[in-house]
Amino acid sequence: MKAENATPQVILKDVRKSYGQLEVLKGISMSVNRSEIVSIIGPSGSGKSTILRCINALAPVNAGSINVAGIEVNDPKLDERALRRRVGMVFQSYNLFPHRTVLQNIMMAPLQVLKQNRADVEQRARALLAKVRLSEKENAYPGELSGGQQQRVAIARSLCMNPEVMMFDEVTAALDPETVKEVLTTIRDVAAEGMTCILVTHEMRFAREISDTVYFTDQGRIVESNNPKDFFENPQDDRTKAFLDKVL
Amino acid sequence: MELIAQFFEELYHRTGWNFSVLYNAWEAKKYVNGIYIALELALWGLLGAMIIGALCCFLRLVRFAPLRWLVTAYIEFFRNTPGLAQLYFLFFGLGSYFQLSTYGQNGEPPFLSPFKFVVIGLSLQYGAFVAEILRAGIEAVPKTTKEAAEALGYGRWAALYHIVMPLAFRISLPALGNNMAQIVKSTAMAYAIAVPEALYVAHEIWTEHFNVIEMMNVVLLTYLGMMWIFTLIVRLIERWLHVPGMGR
Amino acid sequence: MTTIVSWFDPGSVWAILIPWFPLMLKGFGLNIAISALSMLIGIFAGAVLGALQMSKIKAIGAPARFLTLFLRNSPWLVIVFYVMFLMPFEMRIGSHWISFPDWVKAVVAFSLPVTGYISEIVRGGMRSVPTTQWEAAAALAFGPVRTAFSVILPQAFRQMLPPTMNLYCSVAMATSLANIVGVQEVITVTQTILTTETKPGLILPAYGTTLVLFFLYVFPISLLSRRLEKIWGKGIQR
Repeated sequence: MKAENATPQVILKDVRKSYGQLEVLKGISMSVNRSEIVSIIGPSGSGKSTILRCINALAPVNAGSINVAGIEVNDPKLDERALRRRVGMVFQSYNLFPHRTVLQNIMMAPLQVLKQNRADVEQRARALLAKVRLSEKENAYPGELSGGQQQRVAIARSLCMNPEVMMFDEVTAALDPETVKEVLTTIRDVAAEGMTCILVTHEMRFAREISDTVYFTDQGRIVESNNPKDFFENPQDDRTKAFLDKVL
Repeated sequence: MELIAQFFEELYHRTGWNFSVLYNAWEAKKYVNGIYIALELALWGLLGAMIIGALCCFLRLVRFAPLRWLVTAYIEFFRNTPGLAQLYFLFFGLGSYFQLSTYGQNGEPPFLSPFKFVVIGLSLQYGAFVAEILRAGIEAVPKTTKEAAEALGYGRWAALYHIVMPLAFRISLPALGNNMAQIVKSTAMAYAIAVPEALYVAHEIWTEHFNVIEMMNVVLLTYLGMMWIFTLIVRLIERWLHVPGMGR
Repeated sequence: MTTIVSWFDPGSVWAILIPWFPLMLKGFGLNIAISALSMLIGIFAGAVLGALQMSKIKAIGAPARFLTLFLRNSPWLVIVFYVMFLMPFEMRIGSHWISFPDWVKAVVAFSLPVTGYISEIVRGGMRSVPTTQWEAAAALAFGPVRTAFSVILPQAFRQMLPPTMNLYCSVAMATSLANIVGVQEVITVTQTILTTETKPGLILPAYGTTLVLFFLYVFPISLLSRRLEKIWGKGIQR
């Protein structure tokens, strides 16, 4: 359960988002506290990934408001760089930059976007590589790594920006079953250090184990949210029940 | 060298096969100079084409629409008209209209030599192709890669410079190399405005000795040799820029 | 024609140039004829050469690949010279003498590089169909010929048509090279007009007109090819 004195760090209020005629989000409201781990689950096409993309302004919203660590995302004068250094995002398809080595991938954004000192960044990048257990691969190119290894590098790359919130968008969906575990372990480590995390995932067992709160979305709305124990053992809404019956 | 000359002179006396260029020192010197001019045309044309192509590619990304239309019009026009007709238009048409290719009243040499006209013609023609190749390369960079850059805080131009362009260049390299080989072939059209490149010199030689068949074969082998050298250079560049694991 | 000319001041460049347009169009007709015929010959010869390239027998495949490379890497202008000078202007077949005017030689010349490029397009097209398709067809008891015609070729066709159209654009443009050896195509006609009129002011608009003629003919084909590439590129998952 959430602590009473917790401060909300990500707040969505009645967020609406359409792609052309298609309304993908039909009024999403949620609030994520500092150090809270939130999972968003639901059938494909229910708008889960769109929520994450709206939070870091990859997809501009049509209505409603999003506030991330005091930054108003829907502000027309939004400083995107300031927002994105606070919010890290890891994608399903890893999206490492194939022409740079693992270490360079991690160091690029802090050096080129944040213009930080090279020595500091390098030290931090090495430490992060050690944390995702890939120190020996620092000079390899992404194309030489397995999917799971690439995804761990992608996580380290996001962390090197020192974000306050990490978002994981179905990060294990494209992986071989054997490598899913290593990535989940890495996410678990990140969460254990007090990072605020928002996950979109199909790994129900993992969502149950790691989350403080689970949200269920269907057809652009949040149908129900609860602590993982009650959510999985005692779902309230019929749609949640039907979905859980199918996937569990 | 002496031996080769002796062999071909002997060959002429015994069989009538007259490879005059291979034993007549003066003709050999002229022909080698022709090859040198052809290579020079190709290299300058290539340089000009790369500069024009990159510039056009850049201008097409600018938000000011009329500029984009203008660049697109240039690219389409030069891609879809014959190089020879372009050369005639430049040399005879513009050259005489603006008095760039004609001798002055007191016999001053023309402002631009035929050689320079060919370089300009090749640059304009192949610049249009390079622009199109680079654009295709930029389009081939996955959208998700650009998104990852955005999520790391890269702005539009920073992402273009640090991530999209380096990737696009590597993707375009085979097509660029192919283009390079085409330029070598196109230098032959310099013959039309009497630039003394290989074909022109060969023509001079065979009108003197009536050894058309021999000289045609020499010319053909010369161009195949030049193409071979250029292909090798492209391969070397490709190997030099190769990133392990990329493109598969 | 006379009405169009009357729009311009008598003595202005266009008033002089426009009456020549029918002749220029006739010249351009020869460009189109040469390109179409050499394309036709090149497609047939190239298909054969392309098939030979794919041969598993080394004594056939290797020379076919070499010939393809040779034809593709030779400058078109050099090939034109080669054919113009070395092909006889007439030939005896049986008791008949057949003469080859310059434009026929040009057709022969241009069909040579076309053969090389088509050969490569055919090989690329056949290769683009995954080998699993051959296996799948074999599993359905298709013979190799049936497989080629009802499974592989229909798929490869979509891969091959756009580059073939692009090649045609190149051939149509390359026919202008026949000017250098004196074939009466549009640029040669233009040059004749310019020497007849001897007005320096005419040079720029006259060459401009030939450029526009080529553009009006080639650009639509090139656009269509790009469209097809886009439409068909989407449908096939690789």
